[in-house]
Amino acid sequence: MIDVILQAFASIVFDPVTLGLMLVGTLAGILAGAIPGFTIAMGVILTLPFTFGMTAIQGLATMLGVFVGGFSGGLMSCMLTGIPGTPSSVATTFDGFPLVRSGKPGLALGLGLWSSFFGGMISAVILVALAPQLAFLGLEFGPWDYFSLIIFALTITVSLSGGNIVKGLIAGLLGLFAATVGEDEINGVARFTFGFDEFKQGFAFLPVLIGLFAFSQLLTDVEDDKRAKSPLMEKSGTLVRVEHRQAIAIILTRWINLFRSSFIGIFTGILPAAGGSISNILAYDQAKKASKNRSNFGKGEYDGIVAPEAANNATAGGALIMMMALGIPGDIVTAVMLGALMIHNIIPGPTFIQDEPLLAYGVFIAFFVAHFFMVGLQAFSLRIFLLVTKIPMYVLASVILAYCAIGVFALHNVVFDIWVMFFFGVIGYFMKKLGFPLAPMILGVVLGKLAELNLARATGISDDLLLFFLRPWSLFFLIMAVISVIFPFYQDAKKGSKFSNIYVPASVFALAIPLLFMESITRLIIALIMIGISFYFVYKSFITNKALIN
Amino acid sequence: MINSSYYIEDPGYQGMKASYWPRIILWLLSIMSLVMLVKSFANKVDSINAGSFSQINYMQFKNALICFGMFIIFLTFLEYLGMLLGGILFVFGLLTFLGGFSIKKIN
Repeated sequence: MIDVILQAFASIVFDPVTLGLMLVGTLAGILAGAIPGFTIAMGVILTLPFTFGMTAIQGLATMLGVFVGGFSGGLMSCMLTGIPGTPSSVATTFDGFPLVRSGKPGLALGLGLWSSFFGGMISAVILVALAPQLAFLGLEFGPWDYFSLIIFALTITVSLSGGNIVKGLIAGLLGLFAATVGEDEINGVARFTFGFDEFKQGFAFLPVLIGLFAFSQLLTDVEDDKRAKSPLMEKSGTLVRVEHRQAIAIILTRWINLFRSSFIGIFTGILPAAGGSISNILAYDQAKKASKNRSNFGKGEYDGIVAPEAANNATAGGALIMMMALGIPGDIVTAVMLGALMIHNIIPGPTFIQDEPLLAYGVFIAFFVAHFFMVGLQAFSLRIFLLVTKIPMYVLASVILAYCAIGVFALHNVVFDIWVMFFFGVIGYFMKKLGFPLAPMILGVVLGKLAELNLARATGISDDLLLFFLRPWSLFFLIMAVISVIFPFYQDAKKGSKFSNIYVPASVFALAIPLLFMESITRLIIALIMIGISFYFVYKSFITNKALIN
Repeated sequence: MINSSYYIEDPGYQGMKASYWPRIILWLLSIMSLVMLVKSFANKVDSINAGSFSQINYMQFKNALICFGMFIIFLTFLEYLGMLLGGILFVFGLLTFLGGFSIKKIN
């Protein structure tokens, strides 16, 4: 295996043409990620025709450059303007934008850039070492498990509500409702169209996202005349540069968050149709729950940038694991890559790594190398993007509003999408004014269709609703959902109270139960360790309480 | 919306009907809204400090309303002016309204 990896490494690194193509691809990806309305999938699809004249490995390496560049390109626009360039960088906006506003744009961008790099590296190592073994994990998932996973992801609404759970839930439900407008994906029946043909397609995700986040944010920024005429950053006279060393040091001191977020990214990448849009929010939520400075989240907390950026780049590796090991595309991007392989008469499948080892490991190496290109190009381009912070807000707002309209129109070449953006922009602005958090609404829009689709599939296969509780993975995610909902009460509970003593061991014990039924020796051992840990926690709290009484 | 969910067509296929999922969401939304209404009544608000519509300073929304207005004009005339010309006029129009206009600036 080592000789194949070395051969693949040589075929990429010592071939100047492949390296040049990857460089161009990564730059194109960064630009695609940075432009709101221009998705990574669009970037990869536009690259496809150029790969026809290339060899298979050159074509895939170029596409991987676009893929990796796109994931990290989104951080520029989301941090500097508050507009998530791609759905996979939504959570980065929560803390990246406030950190830029607090006068640390160089550090914010450095954190985003290096978190993306480290997340990608962890994912690349896992990709090379464990691809075939991990890929089978994705095959264990049925619609019941997917639905429960989405329910778990939706419970994040509670922690994104910022203290007002009812308003957060209403926002989340409004997002879910917005996703139901148009023809449903199972029966093709029009819903809530009220006779308008335009409504039949439903609301595209990006216009809603840009409207809720960008439009409403820009309107809030120009509300005050004095603030509108001042630049994004007060220290506009000083030279701003990316703080690479400080950012690396901060990330390495938060290595647990980095690894946890990367593993969340890889896990969601392996699951077909999950992807970066879910992983970045999941990783952000877990980082918030595990942090000692939970109250700082949303105000420019470093962990809030590290988690989503590490997770979204790691997702790319997870999606590649599925594609390379089983020939199953996890998302549009990997589907296009499979198409590129087929153009070169290479049929992907479960025996792909055995049949084409040089090409398979070449893809892994290209994924690895693309991250170095991404860091180099971002370090250079971020300095130019930082100049944005010196422009008065009203100038930025005017240009960005037009820019958003163009980006949204470019998505499907439909004017209706711009109206959708405007409509959700107005809704977002007034919801913000009334104290409703917007993040749960976005979560609802992203996950709504997936939730309905999997619920319909599950109930279509079997009427037995007990399957949601009897399938181990489904039960695992439902337990995670319950733990997630109860978590804010645990945060508020007094230290040493019965509830706070029971919460952690009970959660660990409950999560171990589905693992016991997964018919795998490794998972059985993990489950037994978890049960042991939960009993240890109970014993520890019992001893502490006894000591307090005495 | 709940009422219109009862008019969603049923093609008679097996499995989950197209109206079920939106109806679940709408009922939950109604319940949450009711909870919020009850909570707002339960919270004691000082009648002197409680704002009324007449007390709202509409001038604080001036710039936001300008943006809404300009965007609606931009979208209405997009069909006739095209994205390039319409976009340029929108940007310069909005810059003028938000940044202020004076002859001195032109000179």
